[in-house]
Amino acid sequence: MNALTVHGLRKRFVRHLQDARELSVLEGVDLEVQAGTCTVLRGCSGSGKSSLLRCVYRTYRPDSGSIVLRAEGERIDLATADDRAVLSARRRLIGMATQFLQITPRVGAVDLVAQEGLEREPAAELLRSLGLAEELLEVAPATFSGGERQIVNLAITLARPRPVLLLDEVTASLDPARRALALRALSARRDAGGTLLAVFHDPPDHPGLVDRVLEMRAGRLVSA
Amino acid sequence: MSVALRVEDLAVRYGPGCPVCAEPAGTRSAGALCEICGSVHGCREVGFALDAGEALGIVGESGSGKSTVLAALNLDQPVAGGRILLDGHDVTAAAGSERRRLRAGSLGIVYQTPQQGLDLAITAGGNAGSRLLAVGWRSYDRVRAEALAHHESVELAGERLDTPVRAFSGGMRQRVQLAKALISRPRLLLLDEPTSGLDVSVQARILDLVRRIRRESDVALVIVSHDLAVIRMLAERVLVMQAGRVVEAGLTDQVLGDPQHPYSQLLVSAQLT
Repeated sequence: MNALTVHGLRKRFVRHLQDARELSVLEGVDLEVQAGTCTVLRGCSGSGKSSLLRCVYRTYRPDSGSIVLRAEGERIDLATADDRAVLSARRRLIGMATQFLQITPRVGAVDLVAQEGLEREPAAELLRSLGLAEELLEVAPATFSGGERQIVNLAITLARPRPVLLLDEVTASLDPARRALALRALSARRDAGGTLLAVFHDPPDHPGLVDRVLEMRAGRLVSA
Repeated sequence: MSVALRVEDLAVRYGPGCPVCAEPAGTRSAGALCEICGSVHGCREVGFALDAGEALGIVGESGSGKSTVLAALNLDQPVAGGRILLDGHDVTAAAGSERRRLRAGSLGIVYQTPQQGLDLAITAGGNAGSRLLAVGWRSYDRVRAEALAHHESVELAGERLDTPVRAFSGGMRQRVQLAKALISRPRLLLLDEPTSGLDVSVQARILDLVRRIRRESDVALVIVSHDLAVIRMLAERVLVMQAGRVVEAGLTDQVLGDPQHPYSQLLVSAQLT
C-alpha cells in the first residue's frame, strides 16, 4: 500500500512585491511512497526537494495536483483538504522535522518533548537516546548549539506515533556519533512500520535504512 | 471536537451605510472608508469557525479591523450584520442581563492596555473575583479561594492578591487580566495584543503562560497581534486582515512560509527584514 501518492504536483511562487515575478519550483511531480519504507530525495540546492516536502506538509500551498495520504485506515488529499483537516492529519498521521528548531522561551527540553503527548520520563529517555547531554535535559533550548537544537527537534517529531514522517536535513548539524544515533532512531521507526520521506544532503550511512533514492532536478523527479 | 465559535459574515460599520458600501470586495467599496456616504467599515465579510481548544490568530496593520473583530466577539461592539454563534447559540444580539452573563462567564478578554480591562484602584483579587460575583457567586470565601488559585496559576505571588493593581508592573497587570479572564472558565478567550509594550523577558513569560493555558484547558482562543512571531507561537491558523476585510486565511506556517496575497507577502517580508 502507498502511504503517499503524489500526482502532477505543481508549485510556483508569485512574488507580488517584485512585479508579480513567478518562480516555478515544482513542475509536475509524481511520487509513490510505500508504507513502511524510507525514501531519500537527493539533488542540488534549489532542485525542489524541500519544496516537495513542504507541499506535502502543506506549509506550501500547491497550485495543482494531488497528495494522497493513506494511514490508519484514513485517506486525505493534502493538496486540497481544508485547514482544519490538515491540522488534524498533522496531529495524528503526518509529522515534519526540519533542521531548524523554533525556539520556545523558558520551556526545558524534556517538557518540550513531553508536550507532544509523552510522560516526562519517556521524553527524557528519547532525548538521551538521541545523545542529548544529561545536564541539558531540563534547560530551555534557547542557549543550545545548532546540533543540540536539532536533537530536540527530532525528538519532538518522533514523540508522537505518527505513521508518516517528512524529514528535511534532520542530521545536518550533528557530529558523527549523534548522527549515527539519529539514523538509528529513524531506522527503528521505519522497522516498526513507519514511512519516511527524507531529504539528506549526504547519503545516510546507516546500513539498511534507505529503501529507495530518488533524484530531483529543476523541480522534477528523475530516476536516480 | 465541537465548534466553540462560529462567525458568519460579520460586519461592523461606523456611519449610515449606502448601496455602494454594500457592494462586495473588489468593487467601488474597496477601502474601509466609503467615498459616497462617509461610513467607515470596521470589518466586513469576516467568517471563521473555531473548535474548542483551537487557537486562531488575526494579523494586520493598525486600522485593519482586527481589534474591531475582537470587540464584536466580546459583545463590546454592536454589529451591522452577520452572526456570532457561541456553542451554537446566536449571541449576536445579546443584550441586558444575557449580555452581562455571557461577558462575565463564557467570554474572557485580555486588552492591550490593562486599564481597559481592570480597575486599577482595586486589588488583584477584587478584579478577578468581580467576574464571579457577576455570574452569581455569593460566598466570599469561595470567591476569594478561586481568585487566589487563578492569581497563583498566572504566576503571581499569593501575598499580592490584596494589592491594588495600580502598584503592579505592566507584565503583572497583564497576568492579572489573564487571571480575571480565566476565572469564570470561559469557552472563548480573546487576547488583544497581550504582549505589546512589554519587554522581551516578560513577553516570553506571558506567551508561555498562554501556551500552558491552551494545554490545560479546551478554551478556544482568538489572538490579535501585529507581531507574527507571537501568532506563530500561539495559533495554528491565522487570518490576515486589511482595510476591514480578511484577505487571506490559512495555516499559520503556510501563511508565513507561502503567503499568497500581496498584503500578506508585504507583512511577512516586513517581519523578516
